[in-house]
Amino acid sequence: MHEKCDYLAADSRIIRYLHRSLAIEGRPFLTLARELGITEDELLEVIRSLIADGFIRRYGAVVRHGKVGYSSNVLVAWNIPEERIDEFEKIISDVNEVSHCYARVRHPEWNYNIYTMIHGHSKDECLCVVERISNAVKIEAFTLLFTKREFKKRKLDLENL
Amino acid sequence: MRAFDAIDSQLINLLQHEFPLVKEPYKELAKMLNTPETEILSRIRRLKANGVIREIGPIFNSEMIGLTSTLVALKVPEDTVDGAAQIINSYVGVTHNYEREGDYNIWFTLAATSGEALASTLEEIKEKIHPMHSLVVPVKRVLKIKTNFKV
Repeated sequence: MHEKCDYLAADSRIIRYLHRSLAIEGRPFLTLARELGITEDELLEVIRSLIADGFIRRYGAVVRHGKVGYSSNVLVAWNIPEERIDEFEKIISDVNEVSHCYARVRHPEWNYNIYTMIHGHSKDECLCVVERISNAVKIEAFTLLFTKREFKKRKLDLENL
Repeated sequence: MRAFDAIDSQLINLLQHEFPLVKEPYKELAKMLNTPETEILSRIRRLKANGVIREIGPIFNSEMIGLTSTLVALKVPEDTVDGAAQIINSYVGVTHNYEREGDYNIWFTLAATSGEALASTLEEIKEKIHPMHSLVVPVKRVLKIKTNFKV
């Protein structure tokens, strides 16, 4: 029914529509499907293939960490030798408190290449997690980028981008 | 203080990890939790109104849907942080924007539909703000993304 490249061509429309928040009503996919001119079953099939093909990482609720007990968080920038990144990846894969970890471009004036987002129930808990990772990887070259103020945090508005 | 009870907890976990991709997902969740669908719907609405649940929907792999994005760090004078933050916030491609401890005191993420669009928006922001210094730190490799939290 749907060829893999179909939604790439139609991407904007189907992805933009899908990107909207799902309604909290008996048949939430119905309105969306109608707007796209397909059936609910077809829409659900599209979502399943998008998940299978990696376009969608997961489908479900996004919670606010702060509201479910993870009141504290810290972004940590690490200086990890390139050849040890795989090892670092393994270590943090088991650390539940790490939600995001990216290897990013390193700069001479900012000699860090790995960024981890760490969540905890308190600042101390976050610091313990950092220490745990630091001990496990035996690297102390990191800097803590605690949040002072949050100015913006929202889902990307694809329809207006 | 948690704004939810045991059923809410189970519901939040299911909504994050096992959202049923069926015509009547909330009815399915109601069955899983042995609770009437009307109650499930009202619980979800309440959790959304309380801000516990931000939304329900797909979490896209932004790169795969043709987006380019980057993290940007700026060093700006302490007394200009507010004005700079306001300028940055005004861009639709900016999804995260924080004042952080350290030399680079503003950190934001910017997404665009092409590398050119990203670069020109970035230039525009810098022209408006005149940071003392800036760092563009795009992702080279994703090592972990786990956006669901067991509650």
